[in-house]
Amino acid sequence: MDVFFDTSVLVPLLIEEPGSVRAVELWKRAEVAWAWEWVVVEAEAALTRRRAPPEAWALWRTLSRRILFLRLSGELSEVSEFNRLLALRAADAGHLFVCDRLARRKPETQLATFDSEMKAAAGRLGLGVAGQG
Amino acid sequence: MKVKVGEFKAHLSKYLRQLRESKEPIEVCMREEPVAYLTAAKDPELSDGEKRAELQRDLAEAGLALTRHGLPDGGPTGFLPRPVRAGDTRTDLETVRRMREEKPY
Repeated sequence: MDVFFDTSVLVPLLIEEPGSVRAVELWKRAEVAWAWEWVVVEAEAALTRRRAPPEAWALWRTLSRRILFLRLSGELSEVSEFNRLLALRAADAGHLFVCDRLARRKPETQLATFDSEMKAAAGRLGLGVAGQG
Repeated sequence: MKVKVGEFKAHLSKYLRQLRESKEPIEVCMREEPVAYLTAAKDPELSDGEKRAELQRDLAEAGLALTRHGLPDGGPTGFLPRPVRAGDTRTDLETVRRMREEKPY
């Protein structure tokens, strides 16, 4: 299964959190792991703010070598337009936009997120959400 | 596709081209009875570079591109992350949710 990881699932893979067990379960199910490149900034901000030890940073380096990072080749205004009806926070809109675009080429892609607003928006777009049901 | 042996013999090259393009097996018949099946050879394995180029082309159709980190050592399979305790030793925080709630825009 192709899984698109939002930061809310990636960070609990690195540091112990209430969602860590579920995050590891989602990771185990993934055959291909995708993410928007902004996830790097968010994940590293989270590690810094939580004063993560070197082991967590080493884990991040290993993990990130197993993820396919995507960037947008079009205009960011497309994300704004996409978000007009969804009204997500800015970064969440970016993650969901990239996931939606990926799903056009790879319809089996599932979104992995612990963010309830993103899950609801993904449902509205008809995207599969990993770990649902 | 069904073809009589005489026809097949007379136009072998044509049928081989069709087979390569359509991948549809050819059933060779003698007196309406199938006597042989000809199937397409497997496509040669693509190299990593070719696979990456193919993936890039596919993603470009969706307005996406792989970053320079885009060819990983391997996928998630075979690697099990073991989350470690953060420097503040708390395990009850949902870091990303908290970060996002701090900046709700």
